[in-house]
Amino acid sequence: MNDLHIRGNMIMGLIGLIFLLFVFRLFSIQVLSEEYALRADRVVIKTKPVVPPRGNIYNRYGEIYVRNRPMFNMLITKNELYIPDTSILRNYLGISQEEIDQRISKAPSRKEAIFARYIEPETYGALQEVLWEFRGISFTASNKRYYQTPVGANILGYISEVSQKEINASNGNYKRGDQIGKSGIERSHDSTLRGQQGLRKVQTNVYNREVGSYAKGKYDTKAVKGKDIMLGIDTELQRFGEELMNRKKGSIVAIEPSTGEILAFVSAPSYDPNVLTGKELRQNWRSLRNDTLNPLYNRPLMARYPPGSIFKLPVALAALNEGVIQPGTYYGCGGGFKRNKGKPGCRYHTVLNLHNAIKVSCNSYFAATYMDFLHHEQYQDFYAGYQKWYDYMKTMGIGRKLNVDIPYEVSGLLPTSQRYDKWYGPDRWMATTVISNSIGQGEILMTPMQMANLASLIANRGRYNPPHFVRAERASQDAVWKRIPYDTVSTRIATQHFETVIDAMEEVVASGTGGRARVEGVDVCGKTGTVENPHGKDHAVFLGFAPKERPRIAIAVIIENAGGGGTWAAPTAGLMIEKYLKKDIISKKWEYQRVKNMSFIKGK
Amino acid sequence: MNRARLDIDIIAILIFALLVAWGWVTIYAVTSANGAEMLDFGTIHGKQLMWIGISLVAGILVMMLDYRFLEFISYIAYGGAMVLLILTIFIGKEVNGAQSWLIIGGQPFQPSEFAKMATALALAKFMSRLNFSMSDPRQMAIAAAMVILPALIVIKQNDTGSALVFGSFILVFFREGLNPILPIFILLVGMVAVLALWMSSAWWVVAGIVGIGLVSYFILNIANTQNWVRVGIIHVIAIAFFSAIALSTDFIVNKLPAHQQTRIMVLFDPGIDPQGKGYNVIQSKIAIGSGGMSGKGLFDGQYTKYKFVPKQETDFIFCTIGEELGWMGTSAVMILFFALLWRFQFLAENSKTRFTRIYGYGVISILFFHVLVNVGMTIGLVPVIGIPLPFFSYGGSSLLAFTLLIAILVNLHSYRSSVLGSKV
Repeated sequence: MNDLHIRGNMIMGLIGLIFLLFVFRLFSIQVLSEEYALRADRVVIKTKPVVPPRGNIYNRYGEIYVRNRPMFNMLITKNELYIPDTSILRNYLGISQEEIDQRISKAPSRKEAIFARYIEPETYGALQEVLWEFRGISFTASNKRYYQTPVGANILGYISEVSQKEINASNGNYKRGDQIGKSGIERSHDSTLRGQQGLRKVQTNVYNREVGSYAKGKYDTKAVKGKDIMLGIDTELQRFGEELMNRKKGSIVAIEPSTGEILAFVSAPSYDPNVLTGKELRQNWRSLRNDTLNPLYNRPLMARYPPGSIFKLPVALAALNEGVIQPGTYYGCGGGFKRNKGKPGCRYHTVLNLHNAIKVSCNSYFAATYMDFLHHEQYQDFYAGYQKWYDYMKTMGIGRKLNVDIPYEVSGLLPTSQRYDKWYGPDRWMATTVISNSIGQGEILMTPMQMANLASLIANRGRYNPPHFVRAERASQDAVWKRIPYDTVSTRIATQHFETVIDAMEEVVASGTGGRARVEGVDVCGKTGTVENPHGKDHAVFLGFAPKERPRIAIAVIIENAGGGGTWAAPTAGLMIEKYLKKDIISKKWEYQRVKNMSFIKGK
Repeated sequence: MNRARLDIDIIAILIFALLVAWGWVTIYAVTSANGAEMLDFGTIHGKQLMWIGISLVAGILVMMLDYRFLEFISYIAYGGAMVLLILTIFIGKEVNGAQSWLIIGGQPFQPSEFAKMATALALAKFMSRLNFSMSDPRQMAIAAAMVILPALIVIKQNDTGSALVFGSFILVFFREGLNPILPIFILLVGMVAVLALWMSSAWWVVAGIVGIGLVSYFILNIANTQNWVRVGIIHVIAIAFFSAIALSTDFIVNKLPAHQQTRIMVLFDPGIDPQGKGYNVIQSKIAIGSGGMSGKGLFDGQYTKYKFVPKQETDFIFCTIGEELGWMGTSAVMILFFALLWRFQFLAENSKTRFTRIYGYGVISILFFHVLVNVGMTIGLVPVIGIPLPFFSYGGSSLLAFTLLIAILVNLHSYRSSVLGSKV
């Protein structure tokens, strides 16, 4: 009996021992181990990026041009993922079961990864209602660009998810899932438009849904909204230019000479900027990439053409300034440059002075001018002469980048004497060897942007502000626009020489080859060009500005395979000028129909 | 034969009241995340408050009963419980895979909770018969059958957790004189099986050590044998036997359905199935572990509040105590439970009837097993078996059953001074 009494105590002893063991175990996981507390914090407290809205873009009149549509990305964390019903994902996101499986299998196991992009706010709201049982799913805000006026795709560029290469190069500024401008203004001004991401510590429940801030937001950093940008673009002029260049290849660049602000920047063919947004971006980008007409190619900045006859203008200006010729200098023509066995050829002109040579675009006159320049006695030797000429061209923005504020600009081509030495051998070339340069048909290549800048600096009588898109920035809707200053560049060519050339350019339009650029009541000055194209029909070029005094628009037009510059490029420029100065087409209605409906692309 | 009112054990009732109150506060803490009113009977804590009221009334009613009446209805209660258990298999409602609920008047009700109490009563009655002897194999078999029968029915209901509770009656038998060799042997076999699973490839080391140790102890100390050849042979047989156990454990576990296999293996490493069977244990350990020494403060347990721990108002309610009140809270709960059991042992040992004593140990066994398994599973020492933590886990049947269980014991004990006789 006593033995059984002891058994009762033995039972209590066993119970006591086990409870003591539990208390020790509890002490070890609660007090001794930090691990569980850290894990609880890690699970409950999540650091979430706060993506600020991207800055808006406005046109030169302060009207909205590009804005944002708030969107959401769905993120998953694979090792926490619990999906009770995949049909919800299929129906709301419109993706197939295979796609779902594939995206999940691709996701890293512990880190959050994007599962679906660009979910509309309405869909996001509906998903919040039905996803309450799901685990391991969260959402982040994202921006989708909306191009309110769907023009100027090649100016604006597009935004897309940052690539691994860009992340590596960014010094930690970008992380997976962030958006970055991939081309155009969106790229060059990404840091301005993007703003600053904030960080927020939030408490989340088991469904990874936020249930409140952590420590009342003590450790949060605020997001800073992206700055707004105002462009110099006249969106209506831009739209009009794109309409004119419909079914044509080529460029129109219009600049406000007094500021260097780009008014229109048409790259044809182009595309609707809204196709490179949202879910369809990749697919649409691929089809644009595969388009044989290459709409993604930024022609005004990247296409290089021999300038043709418009190049006679800088040749004349350099020669005048160096005293090689005077306005009254006469050269004979005779249907070709006699001093070089009739090359380059020319129409049979009488003896001409500079004014008339520009008006009729006499090749012989400018060949002679060019040759006399290079071999002029005031220079030590031919090389010195060439260098002088080269320097003049450079100061007029030829053969060098103008540092336009969007990426991928090329410098064109203006060969140095060393380059010619390489091609022909030292002292084995002379003016007659490179005589085609005098009429813009030699080795020299210019971009449409450089041509427009040339027009702008002539309009300004020797000065120019580098062409640029961005006029001003502002921190927020309530802030004032802050203008961005640009330094004026001077060509150091005397003003009176410009007056000489401009008088001739006025004649070109008034009664010469550029007659079709005429605009009623406006003094348009210009120069046509016809660029010989060994691969097909000649390219049409026109360069000009208006009005003659206090010019408001300088323009360059190049239409590939359109033939003579007077026939198609001049009227196009004239229409742009009328549209900009009069805000409407009044005197050139017939030209408008003619240009708009013409196509220079085979089969279009 | 009137009982002296003062004999109602105030200490036991006080501890019971403390546990019930704490239990309700914890349930309120779990559900307060929703910002609900304290007395809203649509909420979980509101319903529990209602059940506390019902339980207290029922407990007081039971306290008024004559102890002879309780003895008298023991078998009837047992029989009734068995009928209800069997009925549940056919017309019961399935919750979490177990068919263990009856709907009576719109209220879900779990007969197995009451079957434990009925079994304790019936066993007490049977074993307190004057001619009952532990050494009579026939009577022992009947006593064992009384425990095994409800366990089998509950297993049939797919409620393994509740079935295991009946295993705890081994403590009652032990107290009443069961030869300890058998339970110890069963315990050893169990240990070898667990170690074999745990250590997997080193099962033979485990088997060898246990075999040699056990045999050496019995032979050298008890049998006092000097025949070394015989000692050697017995050692070999013992090692072979335990090796066979270890091996067959592996074999049997491999034969089990996959979900049961993982449930067992998860005990050793919750990480093998972090989103499935291991999820509960990992989450509950994190919740408890994050509480630290004194916890995050009552109602401030984010981890439990934001529902990272599953079944947190029922099976895993201990996590909320761990997170919000820390080690001081969890230790206090353990101490309270131990104090309650200790007091019950005191009541059992000081009772004048075998009936009261045996019933008392039955209560101790049931309560102890619940606490052992429930707290053990939340801290990863026991496999995840779904049984409630007495007084804390939300649930009407459970609270009512535990209250009645205790009320009966206190009632029986209160007749101590009016019963003539001596301890057996």
